[in-house]
Amino acid sequence: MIGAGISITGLLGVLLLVRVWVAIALFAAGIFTLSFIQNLPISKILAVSIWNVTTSTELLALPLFILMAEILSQTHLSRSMFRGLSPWTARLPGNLLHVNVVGCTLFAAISGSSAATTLTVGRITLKELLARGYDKSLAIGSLAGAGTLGFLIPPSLILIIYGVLAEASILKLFVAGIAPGLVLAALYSIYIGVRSSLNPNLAPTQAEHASWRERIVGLIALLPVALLIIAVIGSFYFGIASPTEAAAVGVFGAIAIAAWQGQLTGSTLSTAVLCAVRVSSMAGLILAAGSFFSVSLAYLGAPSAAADAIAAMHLTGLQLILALLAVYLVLGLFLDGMSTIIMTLPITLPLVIAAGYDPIWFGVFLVLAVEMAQITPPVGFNLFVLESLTGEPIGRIARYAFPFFMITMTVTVLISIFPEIVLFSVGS
Amino acid sequence: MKRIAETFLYFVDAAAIMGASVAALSLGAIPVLVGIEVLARIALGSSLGITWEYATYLMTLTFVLGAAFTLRTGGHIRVSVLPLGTRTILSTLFELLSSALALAVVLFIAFALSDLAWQTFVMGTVSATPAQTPLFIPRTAIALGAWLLALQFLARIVAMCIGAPVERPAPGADPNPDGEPL
Repeated sequence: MIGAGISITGLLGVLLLVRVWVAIALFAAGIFTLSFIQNLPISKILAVSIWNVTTSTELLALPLFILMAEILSQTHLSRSMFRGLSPWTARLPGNLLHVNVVGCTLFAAISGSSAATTLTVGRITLKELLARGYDKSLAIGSLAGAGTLGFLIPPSLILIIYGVLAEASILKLFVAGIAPGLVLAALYSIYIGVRSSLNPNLAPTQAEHASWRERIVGLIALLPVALLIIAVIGSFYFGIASPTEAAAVGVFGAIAIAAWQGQLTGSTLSTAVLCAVRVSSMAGLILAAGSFFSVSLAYLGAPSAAADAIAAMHLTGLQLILALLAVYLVLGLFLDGMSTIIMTLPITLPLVIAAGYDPIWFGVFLVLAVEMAQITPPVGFNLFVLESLTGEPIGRIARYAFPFFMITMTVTVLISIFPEIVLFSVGS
Repeated sequence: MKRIAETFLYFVDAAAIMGASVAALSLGAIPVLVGIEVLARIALGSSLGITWEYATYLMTLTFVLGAAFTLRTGGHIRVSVLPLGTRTILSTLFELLSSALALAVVLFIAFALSDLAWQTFVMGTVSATPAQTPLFIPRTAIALGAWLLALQFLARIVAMCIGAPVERPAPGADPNPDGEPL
């Protein structure tokens, strides 16, 4: 078993290193794994596994939320959000820097993707903040950190994928992600406020004044986003609709916003749908591959062997979780979040459940670990997005984002020690 | 020879775009179907009965028929750890190697899915729902998507051999990101 495990891990590592696509590498590793067992109908297992995961009803919310986000990205929503939020943050210490955090939190609630959140909010806020003389490190760092909220605040695409693979309730995962997401956003804002208070040069104070009229106009600009968030999150939070139905409502809401802003044309709609096909197809292929890899490992008995090996180490639950956190941080240096979760879940989930942790809690923990991976070099998707937006080198952006990385790390360790922070909202 | 290769690339591209168009229509149909289901439940107090089954088939079509187009527009995730640079001999070799490996794996998948579709047809398997849909129909569509993806990997290798671009811009991408005159 140890020999097979080393061979499979080695093959996967080599394939990824020679730049084989993650989904293809997982399929290859799965086929290789099954070849260790004689007389197995590998092609049948492969085909049935692909069929089962790609026709899973729970997965339906994924392409719909992707479509909703793509339609919204064709609108002027981020500009409206900046106009709406800036009068309200003008008097806080840190002023408009908070627009990054609140803007990302709001956009996360309609996007589900970390990179999309960073890109859409950053396109508008960075230009404005840098032009007004805000400190570059804090402007870019706060955007890098807050952009990762796209993974945690529902509707999170990563949580949908986790829910399908872990056979956990997507609804509960969404609800469980809200509190840690808001806590993170609050901590990011507090950090910005404290830094700006200690060093007033980081955020200009004179220029930002807003009358009550401007604030009311700002609220009106925020209304479409607010209504969409209430319609989507409210409908599943209060049990009116399933996540899939809420996602369909979100698609129609996004179309309504695009029409209201005068952005709904045949061209923008077809671009949005094609972009959504592209992202959905990428996620679907990698999910099918991950599911097949998971099935292959189960045939080999790898999850139970790993559980036995870990049990022999006599680790406490917390020690196991902290060890896993270290593993995910290392993997996150080289892999994107979705790939990391899909590749490791067949082994790590049984371990964590055996240690007495709730799968809903582990989903939120994983997302936090993946959020940190988004802002660690050399492979951090948010860093890539910010590099393309600002032209700054990756290393420097990672340095700017480091305080926000530490805040996320603190919250991750906190929820590991006190899982109730996550679980109180779902009653587990 | 180059002319034949270019013609082949043209047809593979056209097939990928057709696949993506069907995938886009499928994706667009899902919210419509779910929306009708919700309205029927609210207005008539009854379910259509086929919504979730057909919505999942449409989702599968979105995933598989869009896969070749996604590859062509550089949408599938890969890891870039080694600093190979672009257009070096080593990077071209790695690209050829990874594409050939991917082609072999996807061909295996395409054969497996085709066999599943054929077995389903021969055995006359239908879905375990009131609609009793013959499952060979969606399963054939999935197999078709895998064949399109295999063709796209082959086209990638051919494109590298004749020095043609292996990827095209993604939909909605700025064709002139640097702002230089086109």
